Amino acid sequence: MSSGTYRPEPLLPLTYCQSEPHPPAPPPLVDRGCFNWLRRNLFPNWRQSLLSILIFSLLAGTAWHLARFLLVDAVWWGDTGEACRPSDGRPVGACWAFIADRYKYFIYGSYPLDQRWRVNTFFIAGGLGLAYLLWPRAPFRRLGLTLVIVALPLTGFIFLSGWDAVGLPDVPTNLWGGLMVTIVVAAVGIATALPVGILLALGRRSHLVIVRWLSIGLIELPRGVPLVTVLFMANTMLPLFLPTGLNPDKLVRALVGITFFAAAYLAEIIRGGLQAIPRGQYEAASALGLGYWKTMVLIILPQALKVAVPNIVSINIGLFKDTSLLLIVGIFDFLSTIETARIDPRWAAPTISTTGYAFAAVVYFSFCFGMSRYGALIERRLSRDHGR
Amino acid sequence: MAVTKTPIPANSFAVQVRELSKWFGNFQVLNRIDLDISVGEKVVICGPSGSGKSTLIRCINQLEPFESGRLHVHGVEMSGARKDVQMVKQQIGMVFQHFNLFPHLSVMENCVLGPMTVRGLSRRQAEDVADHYLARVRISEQASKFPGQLSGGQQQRVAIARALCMEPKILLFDEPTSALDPEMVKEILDTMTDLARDGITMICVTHEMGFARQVADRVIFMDKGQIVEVNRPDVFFKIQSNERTRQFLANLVR
Repeated sequence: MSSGTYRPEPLLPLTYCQSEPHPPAPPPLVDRGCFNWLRRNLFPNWRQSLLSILIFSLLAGTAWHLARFLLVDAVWWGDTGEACRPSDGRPVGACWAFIADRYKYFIYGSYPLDQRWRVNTFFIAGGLGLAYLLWPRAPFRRLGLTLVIVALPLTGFIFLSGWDAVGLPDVPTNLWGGLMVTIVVAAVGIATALPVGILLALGRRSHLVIVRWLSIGLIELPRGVPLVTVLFMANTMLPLFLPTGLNPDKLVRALVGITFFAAAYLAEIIRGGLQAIPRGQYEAASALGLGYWKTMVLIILPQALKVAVPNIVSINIGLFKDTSLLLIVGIFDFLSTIETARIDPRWAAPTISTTGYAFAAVVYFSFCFGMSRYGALIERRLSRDHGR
Repeated sequence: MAVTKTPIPANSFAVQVRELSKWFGNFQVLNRIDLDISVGEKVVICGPSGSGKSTLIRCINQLEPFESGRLHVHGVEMSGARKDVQMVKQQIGMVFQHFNLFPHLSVMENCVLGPMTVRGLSRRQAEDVADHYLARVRISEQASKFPGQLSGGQQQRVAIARALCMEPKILLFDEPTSALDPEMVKEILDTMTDLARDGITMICVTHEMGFARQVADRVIFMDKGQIVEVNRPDVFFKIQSNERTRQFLANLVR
């Protein structure tokens, strides 16, 4: 409640005409030193400083415990569980000897020894494919993208399961296991779920009633039930719908289930992206004389998918982790091989289970984090390419 | 290049509208429109907002369906055989109020997309065409940029070039300057004035009366979904026979 109103002093002249423009000035200096950053962000006052110290000590304590278990007290060498038993009273941490002994089982499962070169070839092809995807100015990018994302997983699946005509002996999928199953299922799942999801999303927005209803059904049904149910359905009911004699492989059945489950979620995410595209884009395409599919493929989907990239990556990460549910239909994925190995009496020791799960966590995290980073890279690349 | 199987006589009409009516729900947005536009004619349609002027030109290139009446473009019935309609539609270019450029494509890609996918030109040919029209709207130097990097006026000029790349016989303008900053209106109007020197048929919904006076062969005034007055611009701006037109013009600043 001040008595006088604010008046700038001295008063500006009522009329003014600039005789000379102001020269451009450099931006004000901001102290970017490390010490200043710490003081501004972590220790601005005593309460914040106390909180910072508390949180840091908690983090440091956790980190120390982890490091002691995983590194300091860890057992690196040994042929049996004997090495990892605390015989002389010293603390025993993670039993990496166990992982080193069984890592082949974790990767290949029970895939025949003399055929494992096929798995290795598939991994190498996959690695090369990924490197190609990360190469922004690669030649034939569009063709390469299709090859890596769609063709590689599908041919990989045939390559691994065998084809007598080209001299590759059949390897029944009940011998498959470990990381290889997880990767194949996730890769094939992503490769098939994305196109199916796009079609379902377009179908749900279609003016054709039958197409729309069918799409709504195929989206809402898998979304309305847990993945476990979908897998059971695919495992036991899919053969009932198919003509007699056509009895698809167990892994294929599971793949169909996983694909439809992921596709249902992807469809809704892509539909969200489609709704973000203004009507003017459709009108401009129509005014140029583009038909429905050309409009969708050339104009609408590139923009809609760009909006949806973060969520698409999330769904794909989820799909990768969901492969661990394949155990319940009798398929030995990566996590199940660890489950099996950790109760092996030859490796009976107190920290075996924890070691196995820690290893699983590290492997899952590196794959999922890699996918997340790749998604971020795509986002950056798209926004740069679109000049924003 | 003839659109229909028989070549169009030089004196024929580009657009013929008969008794065209359209409803949005219960609201009648167009009420028995009759209109003939000759080949090569420049027509300006004006009127208060909600008068149906945008809807009318959107009906012409089938962005909006209409419930009754008939519409012929270059002699082809627009509710007729799909193939003929598709052919005619290619001959109609449109420039929108909000430009509607494709943001994920560069200026050049925006311009070659239609010619390559619809007209079936090779990339080389399409780029030659695009170069020509981008130069025509004086924006060649921006060809590799993306729409988001351009000003509103530049975007609208690209949109005009994109429409021209289809080498249309008819160009529709739906309030092309309404979304622009005042400083940019002139560059678009100059571009349009320049285009008007060609033989192309132009139908412009606009409130730029200076442009109408200078370029239009006829000015059409619409109100409440009906055509109220049609006249040559010199007459239209001097004596208005309809009270509604007089009011509308009196309320315009320009």
